[in-house]
Parts: sequence; C-alpha cells; structure tokens
Amino acid sequence: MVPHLVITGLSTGFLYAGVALGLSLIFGVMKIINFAHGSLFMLSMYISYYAWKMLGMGPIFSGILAAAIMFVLGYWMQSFFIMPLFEKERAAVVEPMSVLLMTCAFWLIIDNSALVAFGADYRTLTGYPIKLLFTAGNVPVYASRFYLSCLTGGLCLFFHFFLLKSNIGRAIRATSQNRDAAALYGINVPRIYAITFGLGSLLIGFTGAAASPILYIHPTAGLVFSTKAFVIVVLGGMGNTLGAFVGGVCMGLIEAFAGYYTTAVFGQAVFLIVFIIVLVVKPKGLFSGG
Amino acid sequence: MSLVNQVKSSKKKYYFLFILLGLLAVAISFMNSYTIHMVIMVLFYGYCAYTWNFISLVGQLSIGQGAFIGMGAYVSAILVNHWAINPWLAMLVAGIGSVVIAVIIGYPSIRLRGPYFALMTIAFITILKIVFESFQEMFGVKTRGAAGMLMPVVKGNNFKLFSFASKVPYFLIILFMVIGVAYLTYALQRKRIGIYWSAMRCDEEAAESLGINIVRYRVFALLFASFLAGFGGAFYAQYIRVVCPDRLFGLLFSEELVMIGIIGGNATVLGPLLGSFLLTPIAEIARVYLGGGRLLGIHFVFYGVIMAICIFYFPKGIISPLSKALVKIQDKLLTASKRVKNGTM
Repeated sequence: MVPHLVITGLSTGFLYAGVALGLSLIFGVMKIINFAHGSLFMLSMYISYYAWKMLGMGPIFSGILAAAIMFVLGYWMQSFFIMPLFEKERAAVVEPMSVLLMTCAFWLIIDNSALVAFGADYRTLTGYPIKLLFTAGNVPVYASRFYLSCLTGGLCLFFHFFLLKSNIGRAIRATSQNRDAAALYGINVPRIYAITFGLGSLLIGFTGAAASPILYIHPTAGLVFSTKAFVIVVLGGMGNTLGAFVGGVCMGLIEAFAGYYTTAVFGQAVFLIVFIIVLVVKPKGLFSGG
Repeated sequence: MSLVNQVKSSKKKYYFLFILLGLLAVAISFMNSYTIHMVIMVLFYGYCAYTWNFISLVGQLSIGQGAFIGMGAYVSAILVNHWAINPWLAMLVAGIGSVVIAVIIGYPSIRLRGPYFALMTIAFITILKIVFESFQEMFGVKTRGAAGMLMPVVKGNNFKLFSFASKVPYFLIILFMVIGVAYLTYALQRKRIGIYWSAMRCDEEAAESLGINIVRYRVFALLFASFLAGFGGAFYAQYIRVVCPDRLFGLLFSEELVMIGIIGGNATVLGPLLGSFLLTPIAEIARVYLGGGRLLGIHFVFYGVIMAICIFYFPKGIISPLSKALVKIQDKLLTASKRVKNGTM
C-alpha cells in the first residue's frame, strides 16, 4: 500500500505546489494574501474545458492559452485596482487591510459570475483520453497526472532561476525586500508589482489547465485550493518559491497517509491542524532560515 | 484632542438611531410576514456584524466570525434538543460555548497579526465545518452531520420556550439585542478600554510602547465578541429552527459579515447596522426577482462590486459621508430653531 500512497501523495502534492507557487510569489513581493487565487485557478480550468470542447485542444496547449489570459487578467487587476489602493494606503487614506478585502471582492465577483455564466454543474473533460503511462512496481501512473507533476516541477525550477538570474527577477526580489529603496534605484515599482501579479496568475493558468483532466470543474472548485494554498505558503515561508514547492509536496504526502491510516475526517482536517501548529511554533515558515 | 471632539460630537447622532428603530417598530405592525422576516434578517446580520466589529475594534480582521455564531447555535440546539433545557438558559450557555471556542482559537493566534490572524480564523472555521459535517454523533449527542439539527416543534405562543406563532416577538427580541450591542459598542468606546482599543487599532507598536497590555485587551475583545456572537447564534437557532454546518461554518457567511462591517463602516457604532440595512435587502431582492433559476448567486456579484466601490471611494465605510451630512443637517436645524426662538421672544 505504501508505494500507492507515495505516488498518490506526490501527484496531489505537485498539484498543491503548483497552486501555491503563484500565491507565494505574489505574497512574497506584495505582502498581500490573494483571495482571488483559487478563482483564477477555477477560471483556467474552465478555459481548458472550453478549449477542449470547442477547439479540441488538449490541456498541454490550452495551458499556454490559459496562462496568457491569466497573465493579462492578473496584470490588469493589479494595475487598475490594487496599485491605486497601495498608493492610498501609503497616504494613510484607506485601512491597511483594504487590499486583502479587495481580493476578497474579486473572489466573490469571479466565483459567482462563473456560477451565473457556466451554471452550477460539475463538468469533466469528457472524451479526453486517460492514458496509462507506465507502472512503477505495481502502481499505475497516468499520463495527465504525470504531465501535471512534470509541469509544476519544471515551473518551480524555472521560476527559481528566473528570480535569481534574470533582470526582471532581480527587480522583483529587490522590490520585495524594500519597496522604497528599489524605487530609489530606478525600479518602476508599480510595473514590477503588475508583472509579479501577472506572473503569479500565469503560474496558476498553467497549473489550472494541466489539472483540468483530473478534477471536477465547477464554479467553487477554486475555494478549496486557495485555502490549501494559503496553508502551504505559510508552511513554506511567505515568498519562498522553493519552500512553497516542498511544502506542497509534503502536504500532499501527509494528506494521503493521514487519509489512509486514520479516519477520512482527520485526513481532511490534517491540513489545517498542521497549519495551526506551524503558525504557533514557527510563524515565519519552516524554511525561513533561523 | 480630536478623539475627545469626536466622542462629543458623535453623541448627537445616536438619538437618530433610536428614532429610526422606533419608527421601524411602529412600521412593523403594517407589514406582512415576509417583510417582517426580511427586517429580522437585516437586524440579525447587523447584530452579527456588531460582534465582528468588536474584534475589528482592536485592529484584527476576523474572517471566521461564523465560528462563534455557529457554535452558539449548535450549543443552544444541542441543549434544547438533547437535554431539553429551557431555550433562554440555553442562550446564555451558548454564549459560554462560543467563549470556549474563542479561547481555543485565541490561544494560538494571540500573537498573530493582520493576514496571519485572518488565515487562522479561516483555518478554524474550516475545521469546525469539517467536524460538524462529518460526524453524525458527537459525545453521544446526535448532531446529524451535514443535514443539520432541527429544533423541537412547539405549538402556539410560548414565551418561556422561545417560540412564537407570529414573527413580531422575534423582531422585538432581535431589536432589543441590536440596541443592546450597539449601546455596548458606544459605551465601551467611551471608556478607558475603548481608548486603548482605538490606540491599538491605529498603531500597535506605539500603543505597546505606551504601556498598554496588548495581549490582555485583545483577548478581552475576542472573548467579549464571541460571547455576544453566541447569543446571536442561539437566536438564529430559535428563529430559523434549523442549524446546519454548511451555512453557519461556511466561509460565505463569515465573508458576508466582514462585508457588512466594512461597507457600513469599520469600528464605528452605527456602521454594522447601516451595512446590514444596505446589503441584506440586496441579497433578498436579488433572490426573489433574479435568483432561483439561471442567476443563482448574482447577489454576491453585487456584494463584491459594492465592496470594491466602497474600498475605493468610502474607505471608512458609508457611515462616514452620511454622518458628516447628518451632523450638518442637525447643526442647521439647531441654528434654525434658535433663530425661531429668538424671533418669537
């Protein structure tokens, strides 16, 4: 049974990691919790669904489409709605929580608009082939799960080096460390914020499209994932992309094992219990250094 | 200085509240029972938003207020159903039950701030939801899982058993509760503890450096808020007569309370009630005229849009432009009445 659990836990964990990656990036740079993250996940699953239904595009190609759309959406959300709030916050015009509440408003608007537009039905990518890739020992590994794991792993590595090496990545890190100092060095902070939000949304676009063959697609699908992503981001240390990845994979494994060896209820709740323990013991995250 | 002035000038406009609620009480006798139900729900949401407001007075954002309300509802439902305890007594115990939950939540989260505290409340409410949805029976008490608990049927009017055939008594009870909690908000803000709270809300570090015991006052606010929230939950159980985890421990209910508080006016005396008067009817009207079929959930889109507009244009809530206008009108009336007096004399 253990190999089964490991494989299941890993594939769920890679999915969680993919969802948490973008959130971690956004949190690390802007110090805001993006409640609309799960909604964007849900939207990109719907994009993948309709791309498959209407154009016959598989999740691999529709991922690029979803990522592009999510990037534009995130960029737009940040530059038109959230950035003005940041500026007002500095002038102490609005309450410090207003950005968080703004993303809450986005969450409500997007989720419920999706409910109105697509209906409350649960959908799946009907007709999408379920391919058995190989069997590890006697555990079957399916193509779409394998692809999802490869994608999120690749994205995580790519983003890690992107943040370390590229100019935009350096600018993003500088802004996350000290907004004012970065601005003094000639970094266009609003643009970097918008790009960061766009990139975080882009990541969720890829993950959402890749996850669409293995999940049910419905308007509130994102909420569960955003709650879990919050947990993982806190676990891995806010803004630490590698930490978020490791946290996600750990959570997937813990969930699989707890669900099997204890009761199903505990398996659901173990996430939050771990979260509470981490917040109490080490509020800066498990991989925060000190 | 400005705070003292604020407190002084704010005293006038609360008469307005009592006049308004009195008018409501008169108007209720001309309404049909659906409209009365709507008014009761408006007041109920207002009451819950007031309890949320106590936590927000210390500068914390609780997105899991439903945990306290739901716990109050469950405690009262269990006591009435399982041990057949008098509902009024159960209401009091419900408050204590909510305090117990608040202690469990408060202990790990007491040092957390801002988004971390908000996430902690979300985690707890989700745990409560999972637990109450999955167990049919807890410690020998039938809670019936996701189906929810029903309250025993009582026929006719029975004040002792908190059960009435008409809706008017419920209205009077919740009206009384809202007035009480609004008065408490008002009175506590004028006390020393209220000044401490507002100092903590503005700048926690500065407040701490001036010798305010942050943890003590934060805990007090949390426990106080949860105690009152327990009453609200017990009222919900007695009025709706069904307690289900999906509604009470769901994130949407708590989110609604946050929105009511923020849109009405965060950390103000009249804000939550005003927010409830603005938002709850939107939900009801959308449900009646637009909802049902295809446009399910459209009222939450409205909520979101209104909230976004409020955050941009009325960051201190709709109460702030309104109360300014009100104070102006009152001043004008006062000067006019003085003129009239001088003219006649």
